[in-house]
Amino acid sequence: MLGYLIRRILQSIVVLLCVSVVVFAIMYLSGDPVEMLLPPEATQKQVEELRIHLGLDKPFHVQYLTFLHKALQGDLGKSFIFNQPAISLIVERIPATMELAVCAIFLAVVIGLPAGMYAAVRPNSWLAKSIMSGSLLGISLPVFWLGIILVLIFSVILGWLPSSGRGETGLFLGMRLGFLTIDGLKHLILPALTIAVFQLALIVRLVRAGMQEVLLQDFVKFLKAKGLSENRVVYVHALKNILIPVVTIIGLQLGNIIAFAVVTESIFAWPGMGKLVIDSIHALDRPVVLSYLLIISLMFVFLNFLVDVVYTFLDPRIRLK
Amino acid sequence: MNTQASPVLKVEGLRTHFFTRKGVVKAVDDVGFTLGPGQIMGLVGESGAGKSITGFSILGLIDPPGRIVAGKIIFQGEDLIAKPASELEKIRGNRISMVFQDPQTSLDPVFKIGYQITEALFVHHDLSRAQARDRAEQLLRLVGIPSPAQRLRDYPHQFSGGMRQRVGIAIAMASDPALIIADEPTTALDVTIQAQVLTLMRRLVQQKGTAMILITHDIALVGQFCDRIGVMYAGRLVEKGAKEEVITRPLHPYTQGLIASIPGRQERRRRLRQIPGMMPNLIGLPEGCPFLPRCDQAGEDCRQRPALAEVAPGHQVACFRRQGR
Repeated sequence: MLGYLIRRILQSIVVLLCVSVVVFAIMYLSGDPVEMLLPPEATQKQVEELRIHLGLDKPFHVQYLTFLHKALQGDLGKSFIFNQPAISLIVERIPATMELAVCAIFLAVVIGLPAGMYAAVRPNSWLAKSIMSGSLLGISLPVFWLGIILVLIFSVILGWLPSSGRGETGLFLGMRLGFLTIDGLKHLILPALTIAVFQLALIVRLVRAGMQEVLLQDFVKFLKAKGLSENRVVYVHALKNILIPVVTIIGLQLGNIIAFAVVTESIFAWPGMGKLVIDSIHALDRPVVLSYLLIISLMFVFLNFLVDVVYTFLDPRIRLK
Repeated sequence: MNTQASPVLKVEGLRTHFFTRKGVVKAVDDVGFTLGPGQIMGLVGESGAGKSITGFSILGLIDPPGRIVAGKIIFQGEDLIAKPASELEKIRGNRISMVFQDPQTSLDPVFKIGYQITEALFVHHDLSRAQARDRAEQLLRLVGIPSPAQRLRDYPHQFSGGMRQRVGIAIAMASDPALIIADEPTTALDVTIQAQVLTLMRRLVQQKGTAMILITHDIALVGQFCDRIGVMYAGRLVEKGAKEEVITRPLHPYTQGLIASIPGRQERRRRLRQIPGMMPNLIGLPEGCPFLPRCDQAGEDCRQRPALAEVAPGHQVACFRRQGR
């Protein structure tokens, strides 16, 4: 276990290094942030001064090594635009995005798991058929379209739910979270639903396929031969057997949602990381983009590690080596 | 033999058919036999002959598109076919239990052995946790698993194939059933382990007076371990009788072929005898004797279907050649 942990940490460091090189290079090649920062009528002297001030006059490798040197001391640089530490800009917004992602995945699992199991156990019922057609729709609907339609229906036509922002937030462990207040919860429903629909459809299909496979196995028949009820066979034994792929997908998708919540955050003006990053990319705000991607990579690495650990609880044949 | 007195199981005219898209598969077609307490009956035949389906029919575990379309399964005086699913659940694993073919796949890989044994106990009996654990430990000891208390905490993959099959047998014995159906219990095991496991099973059923149906394709095995033999071919019983009768004086050409194909000691260098041809497809099986295309003794009358008839005391065969026609 300890060896596994050490190897895992070393791997993560390599991943983070690679990500930083690639992102640094892309941002370097994308253009000159100074032109975006200064008004068009700025003099050549002002441009040069700002460039030297930001350290952009140096060659690429010097710039990268400077960044790396500071990053190792925990300083990921200051945003060119906000003139604040990039890391704190992002950390400030993590709770908003996390809240959205966790709510969405929670919805998807809570609805998707039973629905998928039902569709596998009673494949010929009309409910199972509607679940499966619905999941096909859920997989193929584009997120931005779904978001807009949900806003149209629930905010514009029915007027039940607000269409933008986070509303009131409550303080929990130093994080500002929306679901602690009624108003925040109302604001959360539509964007969470928008993200959840695709994940829900994915989980339904995954669970159904896994379940159908497991139900054909010998041990299912043996369990029935022991006199167990069908419910016990399906919801205790088969369920535990299909949880491995489900946990894998939840882990991967949670990372994906956090990283790609941008679209939903834009539609609902959700003040999360995604929106900040899009703005920063437009402004060529290198420190912010870099810090964001490093944090996201770290999160992916951590989620994968978590999934691996959960595996060992679900399947005794899996050992962390 | 107290077969007449109070049979544990009496199967009559059992027909289990599968309604597939290509047609009706008559997997079990008019099978009947009687089994007394403590008796072991061997059900022999090649793959697809309907042996396992007969076993699963008795347990009421036929999945769609299969269905029992006719017949009676009288178990301790009650017809199981007429029983609702909830009643069958109470009988399965309690009064009738089953040992499966492949011990690698018949245990749930993600639950501990102890859990899988006690689970079966909790379903049928009102036990405390401690009682169930004691009983599980006792069962493992019964089937010859060393240090049973520790082994209860292990997962199936930590057992060898033979040990896993012993666990399967322990689970089957958990509630002291009146009938055990063993579906090729040793096919997936090494030859050396086979004899161990079968000897164990025979000892257990003899101790408890349990009846057993041993489903196998190995007629040599049946000769060693069973009291009675039923030979199945294409969903039908073609011959049945006491073990000595059937082994020493096989009557049906198929049984004769099966016995002739057992490798003998004298014929070590000779090619093994085999029955020419293959078992016919069970969809759209023609009228008449199913063995007809492979039979070297067939005549014109074999285009009608022969019924089982007694030709010697306690020895029945479904073949016109032996019925003196």
